[in-house]
Amino acid sequence: MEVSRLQRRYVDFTSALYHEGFLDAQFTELQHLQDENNPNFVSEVVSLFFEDSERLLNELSRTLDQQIVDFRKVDAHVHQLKGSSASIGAQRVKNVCLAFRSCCDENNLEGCLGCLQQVRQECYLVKNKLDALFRLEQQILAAGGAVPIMSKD
Amino acid sequence: MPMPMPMPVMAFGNDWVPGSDKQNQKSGTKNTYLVVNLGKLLFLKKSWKLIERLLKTSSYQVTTVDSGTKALELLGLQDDQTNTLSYPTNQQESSSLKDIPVVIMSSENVPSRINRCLEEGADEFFLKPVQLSDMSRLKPHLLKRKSKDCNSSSANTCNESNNESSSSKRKQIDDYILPERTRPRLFFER
Repeated sequence: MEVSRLQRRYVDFTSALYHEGFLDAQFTELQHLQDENNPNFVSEVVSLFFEDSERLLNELSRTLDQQIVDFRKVDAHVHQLKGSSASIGAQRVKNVCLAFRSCCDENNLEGCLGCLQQVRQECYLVKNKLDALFRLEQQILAAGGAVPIMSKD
Repeated sequence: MPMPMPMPVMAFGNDWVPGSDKQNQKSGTKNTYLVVNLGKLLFLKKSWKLIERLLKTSSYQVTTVDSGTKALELLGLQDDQTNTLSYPTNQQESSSLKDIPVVIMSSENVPSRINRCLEEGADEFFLKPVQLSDMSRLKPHLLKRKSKDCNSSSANTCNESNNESSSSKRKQIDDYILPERTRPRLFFER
């Protein structure tokens, strides 16, 4: 497929991700930090996030599964997840974390379990979206084109 | 055996609540700290990747080691297993550690807690996610430390070398160089 068609597809796909709230301005910031000397910066940071979130989700599962649930501990993990998702611009993940923390404050086990399910789902969704995004980038580069980057506001 | 490096000029910490180090020691969690030297050393935990990139983009030279023990070795400090990079420092710790400016970062925007951090010894607070524009707030703390070092040694020799090295250091900080882009960048509006 010719470069301009790939680029068009990339722009449409990325714009949709922002419109649908999967990504926010922080992701744009990351893209702007990437350059020829650090060509994989964004995908590296994103991989680290998914490694980290995997670990946190497992911890959360375990902590919520205890006889007596330590909601402070749950909250600490959610807080970490909130921070790291915000750092890559994974807005929907971050938003679920906000709701999750409210459930922790209320010691609401049902609510927490619901949020855990939701946050897992959002991590899964954004991972798929980003994988597709990176694949598109590789296609553009392979075709000899430049990857269009959203301008910073 | 690695040579000890010049003292670090700045430390970064995550989510530090004053007095939390004692609690954390009990529960086994650890605050992690990043130690940056203008020239040489960075103790890198994987999650610091963004900060590393921001610092490098702002013309700080960053090198990485993969463990706290190696970091302490290079700092010429003993690793006594008590998380000696923790802040605020207690009485037994080396006084030179007390002189490192500390930047605390958190995604929590709680003014009262932020103020307490600053009152209890943090030099700067960054709200996460940290952005490139935040890096310029590091300058005053680094320049302040440089002149503070001077006060404790003999005036003449120190002034001379300080002026020389601080002006070259200042040049390094002020020269924000955008990385060269050989490939054209296409921008689009949201």
